Amino acid sequence: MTPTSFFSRRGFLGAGAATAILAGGGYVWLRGSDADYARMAAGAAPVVLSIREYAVLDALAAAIIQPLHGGPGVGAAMTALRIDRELSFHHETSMVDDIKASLALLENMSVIDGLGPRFTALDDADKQTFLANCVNAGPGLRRAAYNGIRFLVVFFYYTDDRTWPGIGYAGPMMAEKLFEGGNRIANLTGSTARAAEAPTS
Amino acid sequence: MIIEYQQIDRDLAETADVVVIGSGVGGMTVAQRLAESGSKVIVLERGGYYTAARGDLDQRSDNMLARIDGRRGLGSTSTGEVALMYGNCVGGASVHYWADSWRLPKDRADMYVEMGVEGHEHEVLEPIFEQIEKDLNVHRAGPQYYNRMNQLFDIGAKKLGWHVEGVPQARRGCVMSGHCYQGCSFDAKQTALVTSVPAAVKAGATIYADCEVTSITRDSSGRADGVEAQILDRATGRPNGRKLKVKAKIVVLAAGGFASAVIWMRSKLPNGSGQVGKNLYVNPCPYLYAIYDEPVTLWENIPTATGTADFRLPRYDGDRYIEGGYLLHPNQIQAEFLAATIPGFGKDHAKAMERLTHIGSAVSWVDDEMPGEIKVDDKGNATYDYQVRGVDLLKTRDALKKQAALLFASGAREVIVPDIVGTRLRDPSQLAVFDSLDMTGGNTLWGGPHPAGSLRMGKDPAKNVVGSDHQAHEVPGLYVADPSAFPRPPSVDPSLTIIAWSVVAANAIQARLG
Repeated sequence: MTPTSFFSRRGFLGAGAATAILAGGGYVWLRGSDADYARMAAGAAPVVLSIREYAVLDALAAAIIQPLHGGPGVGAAMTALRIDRELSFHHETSMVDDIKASLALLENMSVIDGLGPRFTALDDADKQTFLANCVNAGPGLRRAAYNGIRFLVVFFYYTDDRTWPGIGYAGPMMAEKLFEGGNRIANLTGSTARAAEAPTS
Repeated sequence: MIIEYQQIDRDLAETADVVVIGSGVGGMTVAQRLAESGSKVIVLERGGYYTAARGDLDQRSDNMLARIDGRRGLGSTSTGEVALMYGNCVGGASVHYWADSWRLPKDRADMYVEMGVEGHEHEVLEPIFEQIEKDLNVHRAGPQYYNRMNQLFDIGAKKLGWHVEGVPQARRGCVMSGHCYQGCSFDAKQTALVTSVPAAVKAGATIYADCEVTSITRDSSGRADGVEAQILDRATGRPNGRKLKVKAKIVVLAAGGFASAVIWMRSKLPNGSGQVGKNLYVNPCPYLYAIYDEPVTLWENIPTATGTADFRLPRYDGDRYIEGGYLLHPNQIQAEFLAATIPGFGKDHAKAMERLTHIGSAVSWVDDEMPGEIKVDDKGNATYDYQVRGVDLLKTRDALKKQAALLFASGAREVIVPDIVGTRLRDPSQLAVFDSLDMTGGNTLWGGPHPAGSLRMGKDPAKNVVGSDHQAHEVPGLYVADPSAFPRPPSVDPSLTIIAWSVVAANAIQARLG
């Protein structure tokens, strides 16, 4: 038999939700400036996400992941860039729209919690409070958006070999083989690799 | 011969006696048998060709999901409640299956007869199963296959008075690496990749990998006469502009329970019964985690050496559901998946990660009765509408209670529900939490590894899609050889049943070819 699991969903926001959020994106994204997001993106060059979306994803990843002893930060692990590359393979589903909509939603929803207008501008403690509020939001878009992003972030972070000692996983018995359709750091080249040189998130 | 995308530098046109769509155990069983009997066979596989010999099966979950899984392991039903788990590679889903290899139970074969299936009766299938088990070296798992979770499972089950038994395994020379789901790096698991694929190739079959069928074609009389396909670039997942046409006397649709109905609908084949894409079963797999005081190291050795079938059949009091309707087994999830499916974030999640080796798990395969539906939109994109509901929801709640009871009985200190808030149970008195557990809107995500039913077999063309000879009622020359034809799921891992049914299909096609 095959195991249970995993991943983010085809349509995890529900039919039509992503479209509705993206349609409103022109409004909600107005709250942040391009320069702020570019600074946060630290020179990364995502291929599917915009710089704004990438910066939000990177900030969410840094809040979701607390590296274990000696493990890399999400910046060094290139977690957000790896997710961006993965999205480039999903041509036939609503996944890309769902992720983009989730990022717009999560970036702007902190205002409802009275924490401030943008998730990326919150301090570390308020980011944790915001995520806790997402968890406890009950059924709906907010919870679904958090959950979809969270899954991708945790999976892609913990598929970095450097995280394995911290969780007691000795790693595979086989040597890594580069897959041309893969999403590992080895698949990220050129300008995108600059993010790996950025300070650990 | 196996031809991959980089070997194709122009459009191609082929002729064959039989063209098979899909290279899982269904399609390859048919391909092997017909090639061995002298037919010219061409197999078209949407996914790539990956082998242990070339080092492709590198045991990394990210690489392997991208290589061998449909939708790169990221697909789910339209409301996000069930993960679509299927193969997308030469060898199909058998490459990632766990090697659990059960015969179709007699009660289920009898049910199929009652539902109008002929020629697949228990006594017809038994000698076929016997041969398959010899070919695949199917044997009961012995103690060497028991990881700590399997041992704990037996301890818990025995305390509760449940019968346990070694799970039949299709393995030869297993090194117990624990990476079964990522594809066996040692060619020990007896998947199509190491059995019917090389056997069919040896007999003269040609397999095109990276080849996506866009349409099943028909002649002026409506008879299936071939397929049209496009070659996919493995580095981007997109068509590379090369096309392949195959003209054939017989077309065999064997793309699997999630994909065959989609190809049917994209090809705009007739659907007089209205049943194409309907009756979708997925065998949903609810699971729980548990924290132990000792290391369990869930990812070591084979996934499921033991289990209990005590609850395979549901019990009713009149119309009232009491319990059962699922298999119950130890669970195995690789470390990276385990990390991602443990709920939480930040400090709390990190704390759980530090104890990852001490986390165990149990899983159930629910024999679902409430089907969903596959739909295809104007662009040809598929969606899967399926929700765990009705009696299946009752079965799922009961399965979770039984899992929690077993985990506590085996010494678990705490049980973790993989819902978004990460509900925790600290003793068996809290099992009632499962009576109201929200399983909608993605709050829980169960696996859906065994799709079936969306091209249902039955003798009445008004209610079913294919006849008992596996030929489509409305499309002469088109045969279905995968679990899409099952009227209901087998109630056990379907692999052996798919192979056995495909033997019947191959015999019917052989008779047709003369």
